Amino acid sequence: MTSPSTAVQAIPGAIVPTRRRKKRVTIGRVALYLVLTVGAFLMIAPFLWMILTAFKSELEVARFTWLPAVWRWDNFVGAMQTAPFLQYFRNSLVIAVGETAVTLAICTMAGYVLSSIPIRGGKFLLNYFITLLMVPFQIILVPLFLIVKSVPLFGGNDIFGQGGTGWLNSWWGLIVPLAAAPIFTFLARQFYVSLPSELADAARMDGVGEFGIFWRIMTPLVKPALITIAVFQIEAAWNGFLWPLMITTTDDLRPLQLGLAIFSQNPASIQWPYLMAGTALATLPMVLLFVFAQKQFVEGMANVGLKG
Amino acid sequence: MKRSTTLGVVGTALAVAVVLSACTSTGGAKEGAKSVDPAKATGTIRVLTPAYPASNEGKAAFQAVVDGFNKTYPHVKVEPDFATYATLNEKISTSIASGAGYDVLVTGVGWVQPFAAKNVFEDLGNHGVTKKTLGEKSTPALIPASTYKDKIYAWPLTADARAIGFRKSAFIKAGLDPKNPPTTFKGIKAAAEKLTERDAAGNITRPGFDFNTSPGNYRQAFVQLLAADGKDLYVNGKQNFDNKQGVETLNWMKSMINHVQPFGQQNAALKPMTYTNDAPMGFVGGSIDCSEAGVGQANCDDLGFFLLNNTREVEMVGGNLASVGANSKNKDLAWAFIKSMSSDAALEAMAKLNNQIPATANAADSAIVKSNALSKFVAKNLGRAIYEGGATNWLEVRTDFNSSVDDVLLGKRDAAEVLGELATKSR
Repeated sequence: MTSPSTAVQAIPGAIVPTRRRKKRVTIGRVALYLVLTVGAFLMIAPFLWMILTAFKSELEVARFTWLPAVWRWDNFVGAMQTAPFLQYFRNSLVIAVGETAVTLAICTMAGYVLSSIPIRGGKFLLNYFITLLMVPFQIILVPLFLIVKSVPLFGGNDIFGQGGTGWLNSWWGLIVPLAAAPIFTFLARQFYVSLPSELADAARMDGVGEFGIFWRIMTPLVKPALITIAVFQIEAAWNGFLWPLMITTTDDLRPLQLGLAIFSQNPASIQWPYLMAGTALATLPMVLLFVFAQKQFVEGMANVGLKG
Repeated sequence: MKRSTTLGVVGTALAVAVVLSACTSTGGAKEGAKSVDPAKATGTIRVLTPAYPASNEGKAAFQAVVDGFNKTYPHVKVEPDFATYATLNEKISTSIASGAGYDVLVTGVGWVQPFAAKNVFEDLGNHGVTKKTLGEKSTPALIPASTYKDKIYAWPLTADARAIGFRKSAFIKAGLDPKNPPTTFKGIKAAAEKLTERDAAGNITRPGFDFNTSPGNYRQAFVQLLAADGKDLYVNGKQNFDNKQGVETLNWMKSMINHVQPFGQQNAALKPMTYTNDAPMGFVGGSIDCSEAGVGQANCDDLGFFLLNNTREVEMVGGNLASVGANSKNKDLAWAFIKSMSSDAALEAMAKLNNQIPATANAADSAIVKSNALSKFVAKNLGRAIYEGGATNWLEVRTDFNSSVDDVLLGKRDAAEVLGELATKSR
């Protein structure tokens, strides 16, 4: 066993790491840390409030205390027993995975085409996608509902999309309409456009086809971007509320967010402890996702740039 | 974020307006034969309801109604769609647009006239409902809320009444008589000033009167106070607030805000501050949970209730009402299901789920009403009910009310100017 005294002895000729210079404490640095601390607290406070409220009684919520007198773990059990939340979790998972898979497949291809393939009207298409970014979902809600209801040969519909319910109350209706949002095509395009075109040119010289260039050459270079898109889409799908509410009527298909709405059914008597307990559990997968994908997520965002 | 929310709201309003306009020209599907034997009747009825939460308890209560219905109509399938009021408008609009409208629609007070005017609801007169029958079996107080152009379009299910609550101990401490609480604008303001507590710097530490509302939601308080000053919001669909009483009411509210309560102050649970003694007096709901899981018996024992009475005594009432879809292909079955939903047992369960009271002629006898003093009080006074709404475009105008009333309360605009503007928007 090496004694501490021998361990710190300098070895002749070895490069001794210089001691890290102490950073001077300045007023500016103190102010910076102060602002960052306040900012961090403001970010954390809602989450903290959510967690603490999940353990409180109704009366404690009304009177507002930071800490509950008794930590009511049974609020979590009670909340989960209020409705079939396991089923809601499963449904949310299916929707999130389904939408993300389709997004990664469709939007990356579309993004690549917009960035690298000289197609006629490419500029117009890009502007069209950018314009679509500014259209609120509520504007297209009714037309989208009609389209989904009129999908031919589904849900009892005839070839003209009449007579049945189409994709209403189905996984198709839940996943497909929201799986290729313009924002993700635009994001993918921004990532691909940042790659040097020489790579694609070299591959073309070697006889690689356009899909091969996309799949084998360019896409592996934008992995952080794919993770960014996936994280965004999973988050959007996990938190989806209005669309699932519009097109589903049964628990077999309804996601977690609709389940949570049960606790605020009556605005005059919201069940805050249960709502916060359910919300805390619903948030957990998103928090874990961000923790594990944080590096790629930040890298992806840093690389997204607006290169035109 | 705010901009996108605004755009979203505007977008939804536009989409809904387009859909509803389209509905005006659509004719209803042919009504099913009235002479069909219930035991042989077949079909599916779709029920849209925000009155039952989609919890296990809510679904069980709804299933009990279905089971009762199926005893008479064993071959009729009932498909519920549990919604919330926050998204009810979108649900109705999209269903109509798709041509797959609901057979039974449960909506709220103030919703009947807009949808009846657009031919979304069926005239219940076709099923033998008259004001007389409604008054005999249901709450007479909700007849105006169920009526459009003198026809009944909805059957009241539950009533969500409002009163004014006060803390007896706080009244005694301030030298006020808890047996004789103030009911007029002048009296309430004087009492609130006495009850308001401030710190050394003059900041309000305990409001003397709780409006129990957040910024952008003072509309209902205005409607209630206006009625207490002798004017219903609408009379026969015409605005009735752009007048002396409207201005007086709004200015009285303005004189209270930031004087006896900071603007938009609420507790963390968004519940009446009077329940928890954070305010000695203020607007309360129509039911209170006195158990330990609720506010506790000690809080309940200290509470008293009264109604506003500046020139007339009024009690604001909202609630759930059931209508038959005008485009339903099973109108008779839909009406039969509404009757099942309106049984005493079903309404008792629905009222319990929503912290409301059954909208029946004998509401005072129900167990949920007897369970707490506040419900007893509001049930006893249902005859003094007033409601908000009455205009066919109320669902749009009410959002204008919210922001405009705030402008007056904060001194940004003049009360008469705001009410004049709102009057031009109402139709």
